[in-house]
Order: sequence, then structure tokens, then C-alpha cells
Amino acid sequence: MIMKSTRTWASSAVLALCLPSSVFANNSKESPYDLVMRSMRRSFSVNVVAVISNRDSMDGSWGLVQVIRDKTGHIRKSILAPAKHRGIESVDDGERSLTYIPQEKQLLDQDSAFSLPNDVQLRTELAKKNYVFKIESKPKVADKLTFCISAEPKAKEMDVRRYYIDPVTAYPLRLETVSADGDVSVIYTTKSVSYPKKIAANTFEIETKGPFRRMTYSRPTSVDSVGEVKIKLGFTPLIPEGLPFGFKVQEMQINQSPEWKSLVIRMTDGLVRATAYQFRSAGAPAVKTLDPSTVQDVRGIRIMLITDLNKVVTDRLMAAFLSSADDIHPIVMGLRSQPSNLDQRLELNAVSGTLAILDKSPTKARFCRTLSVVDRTSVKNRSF
Amino acid sequence: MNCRHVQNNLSAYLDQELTIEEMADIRTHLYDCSACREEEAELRSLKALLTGMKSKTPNADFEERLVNSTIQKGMAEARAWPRRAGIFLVVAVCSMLGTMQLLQSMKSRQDEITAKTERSHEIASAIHRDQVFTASLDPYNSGSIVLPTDGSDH
Repeated sequence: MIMKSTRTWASSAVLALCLPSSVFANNSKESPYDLVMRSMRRSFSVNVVAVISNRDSMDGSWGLVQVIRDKTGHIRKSILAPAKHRGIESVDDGERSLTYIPQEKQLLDQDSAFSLPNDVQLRTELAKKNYVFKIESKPKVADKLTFCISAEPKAKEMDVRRYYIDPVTAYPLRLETVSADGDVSVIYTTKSVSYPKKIAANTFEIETKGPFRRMTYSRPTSVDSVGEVKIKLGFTPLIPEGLPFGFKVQEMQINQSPEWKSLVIRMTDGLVRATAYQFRSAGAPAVKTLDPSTVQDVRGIRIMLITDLNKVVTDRLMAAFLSSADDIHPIVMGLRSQPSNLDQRLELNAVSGTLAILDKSPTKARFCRTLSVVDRTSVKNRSF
Repeated sequence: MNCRHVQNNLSAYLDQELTIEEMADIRTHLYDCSACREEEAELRSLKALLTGMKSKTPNADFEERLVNSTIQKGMAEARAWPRRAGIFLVVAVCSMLGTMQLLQSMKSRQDEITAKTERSHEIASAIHRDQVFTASLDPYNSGSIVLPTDGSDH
């Protein structure tokens, strides 16, 4: 069964973004910053067929995916590995995104992210403000010459990011992060890439085998105010007054599906994205597939923070959300956002009302001071 | 006639229950066979002992008492049966109700766990879908794709 997407696609805004790409493509004076920004645009001046290896954002597992994209923004993705996911395919025409999962006989039909307002300008401004870009080397990746551009964050807690970009097409071929300790993590790398002149139109059609169930999803809708969130979701969300490390809230959206009413807060520092989900914690089950350290319950609201940032930064971002809850004492907030890589940690015994500095092993208190504890979210003695 | 045949018929011989010919044959054998003669002597003594014992005569009302006793026991058992059956029935019903309640409670608990697990998968799936949705804007996440939602795969 062949399913052709009949909707129009490739909005004029997306097409317009292609033009500067081609203009700058051969500009030898292009700065490292400009090249990185050009590599992050929504479309390219060339058709691309690539096999890439990337890490799943949810569990860190690796996969091999063939990506085909044409100049106008059509994208097709096919999973090659792991074997259990082979056969999963996705096409995006700029308006709808279809994903066929043969293992579950499902076709997921949802809005394309390309229908969202373009955020390139905000990201460009933030990236310039938060990072310093420089060319480190010119290595080959997937047989293509690249510029390895390092983006050094102005905040020392953030990881350095290394972008390997084809300087001609601006196509990104590899991304690494480098921690303060010098540990290199590959986020994404290209195994092979080519830039064919033409791509057959039927490439962007999905072929399904046998009967399947179509599952249609709408993207979350934008909201402008906390009041609107309260009316639509029934709770007052926790919105921090400011975010650390130069992050900004890009957009607030609400998901009104009956099975999971939630608020989605999208944040970025220009190069990295982070998403905070908020929903009522009463009766909400634990989501095993998520790292528990990114989940906090406060004032009846569960906050889930999803990002590929390091733990210290993730914890600080979470603390910013927690601090917006009025009744949380700074000590309790501090306890919740303690970095896990320290040898000692503060611990509050809610029964005895004791605050202790504990060695990680064995857990023996070296210092204690009594506090009046009201509950787990507040401390009465604010003069501590 | 051999020893075995003679010894098998000694009791009948002593009680003179055999034919004249059989009695004559056994008597002839006993003259010649000391072993059978010894057996015949022992059996004759035993019979003499048994003959000398007094037989006990039951009382005149023995039969009546025996019959009455048997009837009363039967009636008592007949009266006891409904009570025992009642107890058995109550125990069985309680046991059945208890089992049903236990099964119902186990089913409710199972349903609750299943519902929670399904909800957990739904949320994980929704988050995963949303992450892929936004990641698709970023060429550095171009490999992001929605994976099966069975909870163990992602």
C-alpha cells in the first residue's frame, strides 16, 4: 500500500532560508559561528543521502539511520539498526510527519515540527551570547573534509561542543561534547554521505505492509500566560523567573490529550535544547524509561526535565523550577539540587528535623544542626 | 492314596462323613504311615477338647436388643447428617466466597498495576514522541525517530 502525502509543504519561509545558505556556501570568509548557525538551519542547498549513527535522547542507546532529505525540506528516515527496530520508517513533508512501525502495525500521523515558528533568530542570538566559536581542526568525517568548530561555553559548568561541518554544504557530519574532565561523548556521527543532484519523488512516500492502525496526534498548542495554563490544565505551573547558564524559555505549550494533560516548556541556550514537562503528580505513575534524577514532585506537580546536558547543569535547571514554588525553603531546594558527583551531601531527616553533612560512604554524620521541619517541602526555621 | 489326600480328609474321617470305601482306604493308609497316624492322633485330641467345651447360650432378648440397637444407630446417623451437611455447606460457601473475593481483589490489584503500567508507557511514549518532534528540527538530531512503545525499547 502506497501512501502519498498530498499536502503542500515547504513554506516560503523555509525556502527563503535556503537562499542565504547557497549564498554563503562558498564564502571563504564565513566565520566559525556563521558556519555553525548555517548548519543548524532547517534546510540545505543540496540534496543529502546519509547514514548516521546517533544516540537516542531517551535511553542513550545507539542506532543507525539512513536519512534522505531534498533541498525543499522533504525528509525520509529509515532505521537500519538495531535489528529489532529495522523497518521503521518516517517521512516528513513539512506539514505532516508519518512514521510507520511495522512491529506494532501502526502508522503515527502527527504534525510536522517544521510547522512551528522558526526559532533560528533566537537561537542565533543566544548562541552568540553564550558561546565562543573557533575552528580547532579540519579532519575528515565520512570521507568529507570538515571544519571542526568548538563552541566553548561561557559558563564553565557547561560542556564544550564540537561541530564537524562540511564547509561547502554546511551539512553537519558529527557532534561531540567534551566535559570539564576532558571526556568526549559522541552525540551524532555520519558513516557515509553523498549529495545527489536528484532524488526520486517517491522516496518520500511510505510503503506499508498489511493492515495497520493509524494513530493521529496533534502537536501541543502554544500558550502565553500562566493563567491560561491554569484554566486549561487545572494547575498553576512552576515558571522560573530566570534560568541559569544563559537558557531562555522559547515557548510554552499545552498538551490537552485526556491521557496526559501537561505543560511543555521548551528552553534553549542557542545550541542545546531542554524540555520541561509539568503535570499533576497525584496518581501519576513513575516513567521507568526516564532517568529519575530529572524528575521532581513539588506542590502536587511533577516536573520532568529532558535534555542531553550534563548532570550539574540539569540539576541547576531543575532547581530553577523548584525555586519558583513559594513555599520551598532555599535549604530544601539546595538539598534537592545537590550535584551527585560530590564526596559529601547534605541530608535532611524529616522525622528528627536534623540537617547533616554526610560522607557518601559510609553514611556517617559529621555535622548536625537541628531545624524545625514542617514537611518535606519546607523548613520553619528560616534563620538557619 | 497318598499322605496329602489322607491328611486333607482326616477331619471328615474322624467325623465319619466319608463313604465306606474312603474310610477303609484311609484306615488302611493309617496302619502303614506313622506320620499320618500322628496327625490323626493330634486332630482327634483337638476334636475331643472342642467337644468338651460348654457352649454359651445368648439371653432370650438378645435378638431384639441387637435389632433395636442397629435401628437406633441408623436413626442417629440419619439425624446427624443434615447438621454435618449444613456445616460442610457453610464452610464450602465461605471458602468459595473467600476465594472469589481473593480472586476479585487479585484481579483488581492486577488491573490497577496494568492500568498504571499502561499509563506509564503512554506518558513515556508521549514524551518520546514529543522529543522526536522537536529534535526533527535540528539537523544534529536528524536520526531521531519514534520507536515502539513497549516500555523496554526506549
